[in-house]
Amino acid sequence: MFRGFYAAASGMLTQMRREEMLTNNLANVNTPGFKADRAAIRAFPQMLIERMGGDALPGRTPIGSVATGVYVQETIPLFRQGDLKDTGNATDVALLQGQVPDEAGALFFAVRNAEGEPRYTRNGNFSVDGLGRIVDNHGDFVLGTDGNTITVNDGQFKIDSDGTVVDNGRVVGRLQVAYAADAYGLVKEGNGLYRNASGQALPSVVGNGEIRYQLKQGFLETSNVDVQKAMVELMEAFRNLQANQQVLKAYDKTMGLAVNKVGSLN
Amino acid sequence: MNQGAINAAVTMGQLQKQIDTIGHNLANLNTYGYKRRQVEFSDLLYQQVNNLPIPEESNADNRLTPGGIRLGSGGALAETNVNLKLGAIQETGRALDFALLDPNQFLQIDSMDANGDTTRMFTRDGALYLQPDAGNADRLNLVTKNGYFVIGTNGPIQIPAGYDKIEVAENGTIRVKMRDGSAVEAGRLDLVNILRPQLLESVGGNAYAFGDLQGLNLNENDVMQAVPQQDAQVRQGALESSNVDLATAMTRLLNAQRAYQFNARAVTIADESAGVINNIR
Repeated sequence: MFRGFYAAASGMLTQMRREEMLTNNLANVNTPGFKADRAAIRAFPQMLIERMGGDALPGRTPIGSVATGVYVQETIPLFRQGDLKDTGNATDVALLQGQVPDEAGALFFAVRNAEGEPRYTRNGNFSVDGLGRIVDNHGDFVLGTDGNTITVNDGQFKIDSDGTVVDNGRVVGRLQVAYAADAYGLVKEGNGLYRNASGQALPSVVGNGEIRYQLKQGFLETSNVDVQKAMVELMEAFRNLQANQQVLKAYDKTMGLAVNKVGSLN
Repeated sequence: MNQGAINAAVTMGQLQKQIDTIGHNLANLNTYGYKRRQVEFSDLLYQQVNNLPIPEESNADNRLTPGGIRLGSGGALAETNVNLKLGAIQETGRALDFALLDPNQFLQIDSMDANGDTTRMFTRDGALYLQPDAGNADRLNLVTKNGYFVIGTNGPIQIPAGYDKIEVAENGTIRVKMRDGSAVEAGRLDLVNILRPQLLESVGGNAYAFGDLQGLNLNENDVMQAVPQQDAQVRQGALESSNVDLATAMTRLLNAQRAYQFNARAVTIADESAGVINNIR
C-alpha cells in the first residue's frame, strides 16, 4: 500500500549514518595523516510495478519501476595528500607522495602492530621507544626496507628524503614505504592504521622506478578533512533527515485518514 | 545513543586535554629551562558495519572498498612529546645562574624527604641559590629554588661560607675564591646526557624524573650517561629561557579551539537529529 513509507525511513537512517561519518571526519581535523571518508549512497534494488487485474488485457501491463529505499553503500577514504606542517620534531616524518602509476595508488609507512601483523599508516608522528626503536604514536614498530625495526641511539637522528636513517653519522636503516596499487582495498582500523583486506603485505616502493616520493623530517602531513565541506555536508544531511521525517509524517497522516475517515459513517 | 554525538563528545574531551597542555606551555612561557610538550592526535577505532545481509556479495562489482562500511569513533590524544629544543639564552650576570648550552644535558638534583631519603631528579633550570647546611655552619649547599640539592661528581655541591667569588668553568668545575685570597675547588657539576628524553616524567617544580625503568627492562645506563668533562657546556651568568614559542602555541590554541567548536556543533546537529526522530509523532 504505502511503498514510500519504508523508503522515507531508510532515508532517515542513511542520513544518520552520513552524520556519524561526517562527525568522525570533523573529530579528526587535527589528526596527522588522517584521510577523510566520503559516503557513497545507493538506492536499494528497484522493483517493477504491474497493474493488478490485468486479465482482461493481453500480456502484462507494467506501470513503472519504484526504488524501495536507500542506504550508505560505502565509506570511501579520500587518499589525497594532506598539507605539511612544520613541527620541528626530529621524530616527525611526513610522506610526500609524488607520481604513482595507478589512479587509486597511494604510499604508506609500514608498521608492525602488537600482534606482529603488517599495517600501514600515513601518520608520521613517530617517537623512539625505551629501547631506541622507532615506533608510531601507539607503540607499533616502524619498519625499515629490510622488514626489521630501526634502532637509533637517541632522538638526534637524521632522515634523508629517501628515508635513510643516519644516527651519529652511521646509517642504521631506511624507512620502508609501501605501495598500495589500489588503496581502496585497505581497511581503516583506527589509530591511523590501515590493514590490507586481502591479508597480503604491500610491496615496497624500493626498486619501483615509476614511483616518486619524498620524506620530510620535522614535518607532519595534516589531516585532509575539508572542514567547510564537512560542515556543509553535515547540515545538508541534517536537513535531508528532516525532509524524510516530513515525508514520513505525511504518510502517517494519510494512513490516519485511511483509518479514521474511510469507512466513517458521518 | 547516536554514534555521531558520542564521536564528537569523546573528541571534545580530548581536545580539552590538548588545550590544557597548550595552556600549560603558555603558562610556562617565562619559566627558565622549561621544555614544551607537543600534542598530536590520532583517530580512534573503526567499527565494521555490515549493512547488507551478504556484505561481500551484494553489489561487489560496483564497490571500491571491501564489504560493509567502516564508521570511526572520533579522535584522541596520541602522545605528549617533550621537546628538548634549546631555549634562548638570556644573560643575567648573576654568579649563580647557569645555562646549559647542549640541549640534551641536564643538571642532577636530589630532593630529601623527612626520613633523609633522596630522590634523583633532573632539571634545566639553572637559577641556583646557596643555603646554609643544617649540620655544618661553615658550608653552604648549592640548591635549586625549590631547595633541591645540586649534585656534583662527588655528591651534593657545597661551597665554603665566607666566599668572595664563585666561578664556574665551561666544563662545570666550580672554583671558589675566598676572602683571604685563597682559592678552593668545590667540585664539578655532574651533568647527564639524557638519551631517552621521552621517558622523563614531569614531576613539577620544573624537574623531571625517570619513571619505572625496570618495567621497561632498562637500567640507568640505557637512558642516560654522565657528560665527560670536555663535552660539558655550562655558561655562568646566563639562563636558558623557556623554549615555548608564543606564536606557535597561540596558533595551535586557536586551532584546537576551532576544532572544539566544530565538534560542539556536531553534537548540536546530532541532538537536533535526535529531536527530528523524536518528533516523527
